[in-house]
Amino acid sequence: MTSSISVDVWSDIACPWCYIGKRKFEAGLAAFDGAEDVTVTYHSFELSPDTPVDFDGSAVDFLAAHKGMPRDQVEQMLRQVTTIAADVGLDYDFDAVRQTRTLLAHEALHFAKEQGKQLELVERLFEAHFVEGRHVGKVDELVELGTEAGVDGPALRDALENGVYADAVGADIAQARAYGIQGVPFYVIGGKYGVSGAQRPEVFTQALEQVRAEQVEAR
Amino acid sequence: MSELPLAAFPPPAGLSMIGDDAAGFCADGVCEVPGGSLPAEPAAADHRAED
Repeated sequence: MTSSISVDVWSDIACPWCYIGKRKFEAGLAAFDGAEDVTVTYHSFELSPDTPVDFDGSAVDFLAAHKGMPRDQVEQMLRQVTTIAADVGLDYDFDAVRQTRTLLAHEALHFAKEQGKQLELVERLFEAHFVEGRHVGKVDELVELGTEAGVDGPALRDALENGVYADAVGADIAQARAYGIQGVPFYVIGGKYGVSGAQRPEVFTQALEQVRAEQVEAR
Repeated sequence: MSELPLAAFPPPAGLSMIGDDAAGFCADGVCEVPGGSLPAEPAAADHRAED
């Protein structure tokens, strides 16, 4: 009999490396002999809580205006990220991305977790944001996307309108702070190993194998 | 099993870091690539250096 392995992932829907990291982690997990024993949980991390719900402009406009980055630097960065996303099968469209605060999206992910649909909604929100250019910061849009991911739409609307999971989002962010997490994606594997950034799939596989080996040794 | 390389980031409290420092991440709304391992755009980089 084998023990379960927890993988806790801190990420933000507005983080392009987090979606790339998701694909790389999935590849690493698929290569791990024991993937069925791994439980993945996504946790909230707001990269830019000062983002307005409706930012009028492109991703380049946002980063240039809010972060003070030179436009040519931003454009180069987004081109590079787009290329790397394509390498893992993701068709990023930064011209279409709609910048927004992701607080409600994180609340929706907590709701989806309660319904056993968190991984489905994470994928749906990333795709909606980076590939389809859909808004992921408003209740109506999140209910629509949540329904597409298989969660109970009316119940999700009620939870979002009443801030039912706002404290849960705050707790996740506090936990990230306690760990000292400064950037995302960030993975905590087996409650012991930290993996920062969109690492190569082999790194995730090795980390999982390390945890499994230690579980066997501890028996 | 071979020992895994440690990441370049400060180790978060209570965690042992695994991985290399060439992975992309986002912090404070800005996304970067530590270690400079991205497919380089030498022309653009040289241009900036000249500036």
